[in-house]
Amino acid sequence: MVRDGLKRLGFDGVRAARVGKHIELEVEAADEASARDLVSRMCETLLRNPVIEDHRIASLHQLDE
Amino acid sequence: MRFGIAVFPGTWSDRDCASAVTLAGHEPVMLWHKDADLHGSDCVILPGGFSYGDYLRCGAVARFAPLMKSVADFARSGGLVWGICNGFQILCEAHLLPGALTRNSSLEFRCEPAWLRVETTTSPFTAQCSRGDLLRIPVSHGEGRYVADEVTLAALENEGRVVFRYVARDGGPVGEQSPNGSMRDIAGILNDRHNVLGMMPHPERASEDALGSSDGMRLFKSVTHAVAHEGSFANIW
Repeated sequence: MVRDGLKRLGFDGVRAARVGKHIELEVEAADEASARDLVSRMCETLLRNPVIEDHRIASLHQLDE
Repeated sequence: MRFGIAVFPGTWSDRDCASAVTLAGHEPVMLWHKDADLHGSDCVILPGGFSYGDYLRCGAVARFAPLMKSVADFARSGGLVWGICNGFQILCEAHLLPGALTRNSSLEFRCEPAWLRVETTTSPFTAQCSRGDLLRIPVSHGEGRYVADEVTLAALENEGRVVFRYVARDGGPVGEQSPNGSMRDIAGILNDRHNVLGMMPHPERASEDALGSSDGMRLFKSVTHAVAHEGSFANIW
C-alpha cells in the first residue's frame, strides 16, 4: 500500500515498504546485558503481541546523566 | 439477573449495553476498571470503545486493570464473559480468547450494518437462536480483522467455537463486502468451555426496532434464558 503510493508519486525503485512501531525507552540498569534483558522482558509481557508482532532491539546506548 | 458492565477510561458503549440489559428486563451494574469487585454479576460484558485510548495496541493496557484480574478468574471458574468490539480485543490480549484483531483490510474505520450467520447454538449466548439464522447487527471498528494461525483456526472450526460469520445480505459468502477482511469471515468466537464470547459487531446497537434491528436482543435473551435455566456454566456445554 505504502510502496504503491510512493510509486504513484513517481518514486520508482522502492522494492518494499513496511510501517511498524518504533518504541524508545529510557531505563535504569546496571549494565548493557541487564538493560537488554529488562527490555526483552518488557517486550514479552506488554510491548508486543506475539500473535501478530515480532521485536528486535535495534540499538542500545548509555545516556549521560 | 445481573449484568456487570466494565467501564474503562475511553469505553463508549457501556450506557448502550446498560440500556439493552434494562430493555431485556434485567439489572445492569457498572464495573469501574480500578475496582476488582464484580458485584455479584451473572454475566460480565466488556463493551466497545477505546479503552485507555487504545495506546500501544487495542486492549493491551486494559488487560492489566484490577477489574480484569477478577474477570479472568470469573471466566476460569465458568462465569459468562461477553466481549463486544474493544471487549473482544481485550479478551484476546488477555489470552482468554486465541488470536488477535488487526487493522481492517480496507484500512478504514467501518461503521455500518453487518449480517451475521449463527454458526453454533451450543453456547449460552446463542442458545435461543437456530443454526443458520441471519442477524443484522452493526459493526463499528477500525481494527476488527480476526487473525490466528492455522492450528488455532482449525481448532476453532472443529470444536464449534466460531459462533458468528460475516455473510452477505442474502446469506451467501461475504467476499469483498467483509467489513474487515477477517480470516474465515470470523465475526465472533468462543473459548474452549464456551462461556467466553468475543464478537466485533455491536448487539446492543441492535436491541430495539427503533435502532433498525432488534436482532441483538436475541443474544441478551439467550444469556438470560441460559442463566435462569442452568445457573452455573462450568463445563455444561
